[in-house]
Amino acid sequence: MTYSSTVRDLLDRAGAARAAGRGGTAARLYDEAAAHCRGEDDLEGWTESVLGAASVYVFGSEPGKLPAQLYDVLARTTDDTARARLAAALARCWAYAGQPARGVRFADEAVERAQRIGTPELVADCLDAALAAHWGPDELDVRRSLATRLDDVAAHVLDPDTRLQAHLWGLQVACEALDLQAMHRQMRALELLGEESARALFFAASRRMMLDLLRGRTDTSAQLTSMAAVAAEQASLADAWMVLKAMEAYAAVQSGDTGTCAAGAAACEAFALAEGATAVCSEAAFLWVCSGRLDRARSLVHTFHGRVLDELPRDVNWLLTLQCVLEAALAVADVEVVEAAARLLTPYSGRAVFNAGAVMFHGVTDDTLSRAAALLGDPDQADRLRARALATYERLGARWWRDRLASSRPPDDVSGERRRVHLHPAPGDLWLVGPDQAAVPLRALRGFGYLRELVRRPGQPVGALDLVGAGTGVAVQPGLGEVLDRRALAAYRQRLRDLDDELTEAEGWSDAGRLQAVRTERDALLSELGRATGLGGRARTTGSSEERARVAVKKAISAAIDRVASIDAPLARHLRSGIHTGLTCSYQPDPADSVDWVLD
Amino acid sequence: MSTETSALVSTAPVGARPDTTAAVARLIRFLETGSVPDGLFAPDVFSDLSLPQWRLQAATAEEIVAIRAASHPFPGQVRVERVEQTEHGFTIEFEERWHHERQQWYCREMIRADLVGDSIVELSIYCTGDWDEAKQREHAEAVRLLRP
Repeated sequence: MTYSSTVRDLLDRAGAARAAGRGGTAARLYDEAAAHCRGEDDLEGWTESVLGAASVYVFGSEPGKLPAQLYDVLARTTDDTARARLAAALARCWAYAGQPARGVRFADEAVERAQRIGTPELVADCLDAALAAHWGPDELDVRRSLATRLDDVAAHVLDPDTRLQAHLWGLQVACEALDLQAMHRQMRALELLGEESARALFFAASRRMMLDLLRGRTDTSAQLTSMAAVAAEQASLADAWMVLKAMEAYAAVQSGDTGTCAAGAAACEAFALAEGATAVCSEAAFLWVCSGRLDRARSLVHTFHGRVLDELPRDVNWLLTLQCVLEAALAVADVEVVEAAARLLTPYSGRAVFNAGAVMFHGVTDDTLSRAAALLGDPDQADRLRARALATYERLGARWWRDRLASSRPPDDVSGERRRVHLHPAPGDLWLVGPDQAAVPLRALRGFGYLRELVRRPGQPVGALDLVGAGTGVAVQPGLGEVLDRRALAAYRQRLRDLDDELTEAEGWSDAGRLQAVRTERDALLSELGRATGLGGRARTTGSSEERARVAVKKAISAAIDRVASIDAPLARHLRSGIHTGLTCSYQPDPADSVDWVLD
Repeated sequence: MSTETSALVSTAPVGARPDTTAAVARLIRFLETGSVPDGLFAPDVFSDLSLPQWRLQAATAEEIVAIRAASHPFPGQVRVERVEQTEHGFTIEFEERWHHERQQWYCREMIRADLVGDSIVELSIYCTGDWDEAKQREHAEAVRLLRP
């Protein structure tokens, strides 16, 4: 290759930066080289520059202008080999950026051209790109087929990187298919390769830990993490730090090291926010759960409300994201997100979930779906999925996962048993809240006091004013008047009835103009009535002691139950369903969900 | 090319249709340099250029080059946004930037090209017209593009 001295210098410096693991520096130098080559009409140098930039692109991050640069060069390229390399890089780039659909046709072109040329290393590189472009949840069969082809090709090459790619894909597919024998076989092949190259050793150590954790072994974690870190340093892998963080965090999950787990969660959350990486955000939520910080998990789960889950790209991270979000939503009893995630995951029941590249095992979908079904009131489905998940974990020897699911008792199992739950003040302006043996001291909240008064008198109505006064003799002030006087309210309601009749008539006549007008007036009236009336359509007063007490009690109890949810989601659910607030409040527990309260 | 649009389609897929990659690469070269690579145009190539308020046609390669040179002095830079293979050739969507009379100029174009073998026999060109720096500034102040 005959590049100008400027381009040669830039490419050399970029290569050195890449070799030293300084991906950002390398990317800037490759970009500069690309601009020079373009100015000098040097297509060959331009090609090397953009391929170099693609080689340091970090999986899961924003690709910026890289796809555009690759495409611009591809459009000018006629040589089969160069086109295959560029198309493969472009396909991988889109796949890594979470937009695999855009990469599929480039991957197809790359494979076809590479096969025409017949160089095994090139074919393997292009098959790798095709696998990346077909990494969605619905393409497991395509991956199996491509991985088999890649395995055939790699068997004829000596290059360790090519063979490494083939074995990594073999492991990925074996994991997804939960074929334990194939997983062991591919792991052994990776470890043998690790004797040849530091890069392979990094993958061998990190994936060995994944497999060990899957099978409930945590005693090897420290050694394997250390081995992977050293190998990553030697091989200057651009995104190894992410894998190393995951190794530390997930080992901590299984060993119960909540401090390390929380540190991993914080790192994941920071990266997710900086890069807009949704899958990493979902992992952060799961890790917060495992570190006992349900408050942090809840705030992340909250970001998945609305149509966020429905609009996730069906890429490599789709199953992982839903699985982690569902785990976290179950932990914080966020029913809306549980429903949404379970609805999307249900067609994929029976699937194993792995982080991209088999970095970590995240359980089987039957596990989370069974718990979701239990929460959502479908005990038969919950039992069926739970039994299947336990059988899968048993077959795999996934002890931690099996024990975790076995100990998570669905609501039905709890029925009939009475559990002791503490809810009372403790020394130091604290309250002790939670189940016997696991009660947690929490900072005192006014709502805890209201809750205690209510659960002390199950089934009895207690005035909000009495709760606020708590025997201190609150002066009762008359209200400033109902928001709407009763005559106006009656007139509004009569008009609403008339509008309903008109609506029926307009619908019958398909009168679109009248329908719209009636609906607009009806919506406005309903809005006004909603503002002026409380539950059951009773007139709401404003400014009275009773009304102020109603609002204050409702807010305080809501905040208190939220706090309870951060330490005991089932208890919070129990309170939410049993506590009723208004001008009078009450505690009406479900008889099937019995609690022995410890209130003093 | 924006990252949004860059990979909505691939360049000339191999297989079912004839490979147009050589013609695409040569056309880009012509657009950037003004020199006509061997075999790019058939001798009797017909071109039909539509501008915002004008239209020109040419029946030979020489006439195409002359029209091109009159409006876009060389060299310039082409940024390819999208190439689609068609039944008879390809379409290409791109932007151009060039320097002329102490100004940076800009335009966007779409070309439909029909091929016989590797040579273009017919071109249909749609161009936004040439935007000088004042027009580019005016546009940047008035419009925020979703996919720049």
